[in-house]
Amino acid sequence: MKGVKGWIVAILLLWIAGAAQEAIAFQVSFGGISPDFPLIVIICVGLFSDKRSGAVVGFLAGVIHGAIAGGHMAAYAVTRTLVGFLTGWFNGMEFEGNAAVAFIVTAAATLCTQLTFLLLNPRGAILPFLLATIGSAMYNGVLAIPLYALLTKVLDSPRR
Amino acid sequence: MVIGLCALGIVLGNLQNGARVSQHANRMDTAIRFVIEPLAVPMSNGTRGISDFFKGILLARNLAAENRNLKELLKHMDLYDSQIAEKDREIDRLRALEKFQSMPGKTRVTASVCGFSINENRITLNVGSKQGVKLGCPVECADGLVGTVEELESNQCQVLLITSVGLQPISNGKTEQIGATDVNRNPPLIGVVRGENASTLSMTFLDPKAPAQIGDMIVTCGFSDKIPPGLLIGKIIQTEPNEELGTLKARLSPAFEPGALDLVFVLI
Repeated sequence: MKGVKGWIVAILLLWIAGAAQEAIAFQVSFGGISPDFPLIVIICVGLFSDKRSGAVVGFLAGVIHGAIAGGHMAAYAVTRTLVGFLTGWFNGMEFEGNAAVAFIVTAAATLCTQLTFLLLNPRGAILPFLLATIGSAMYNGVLAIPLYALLTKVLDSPRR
Repeated sequence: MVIGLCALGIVLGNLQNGARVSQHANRMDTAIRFVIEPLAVPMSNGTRGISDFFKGILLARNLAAENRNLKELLKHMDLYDSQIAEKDREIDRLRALEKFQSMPGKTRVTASVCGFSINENRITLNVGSKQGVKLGCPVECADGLVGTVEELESNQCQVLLITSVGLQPISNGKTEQIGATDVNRNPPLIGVVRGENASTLSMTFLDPKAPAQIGDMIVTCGFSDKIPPGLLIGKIIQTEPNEELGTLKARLSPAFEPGALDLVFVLI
């Protein structure tokens, strides 16, 4: 992600993702599995960013998610900052960016993020949370594919 | 830089928790919601509209029949409304004579659910202090008790669902559990209810030998200055006597379906 254009796109996507998380995430959930729109944005934007930009986008997404959720702001901010940083770091490695990579990275990052979130914010019923996390990872991965394709058109191609 | 951002996140988290403990709206949360809201509301209405449109097409026949039945039911209910209002007035008069406090939750403020945080078991409503909502006010839907108001702003509020783990509704700055009663037993069985997980509640009966049965309906008992008696909480799906501790616990299925919440009422 380079220049003002990249940041405008990132902020616009974070705004849309925040609204979607607040308004439609529960409407498109099934069996306790729901998408995490800000997380999808972090990862897809992170695949076009460096470590620093990825961390900042992750931090902003975490603060937005924490604010609309009304709780656990610290856990959201820390986990999302780390995932943004790691995605940006991953982008710096040699890889062929495509939809499959977006799916795999998003699913894996969702699993890591939610498990870290669980460590920072322990809860009683772990098994249902883990099952929902696996489902959400797949869900997020699928949703990341069209967003990645869109970003490929709008932003510069990911580094190879 | 990452460490700095994480530290900043922790500071913001502490501010959020501090605001909640002191029962003030967190300015950062308010500002972010203020920015998100103009897009979230049309998004929510749009998706609901699309969903209702297709449901209407697919289930038109059933919906028409249901509508007719509901109109009939409404006609029958109208017959009782005046009698109920008269009885309510009589109760108020008698309570005033005995210098009892007035019953809570007499006025309903209609609200739309404009947000739902699944992980936090919270919903956001489009009413706030300007509409007379106060912290700790109970929120119900057509199926029963939904939760209590935990965060309040001028034009919106956040409600902690009763299914929330370790739910402790706010009351006058302190916390309490929900007093509940099993209305299917005579005399009614008294206990306290708290959230267990996203889809289950747990009720601890005061009497460890209470004859509670699976399928019994549990309603609020009214031992609260905010939550009125008689609101349906859920029904028993499992009982767990613990002879060592001398307690009887029951698992409850909540009366409401979180994903289906649309229109709710705040009782003020």
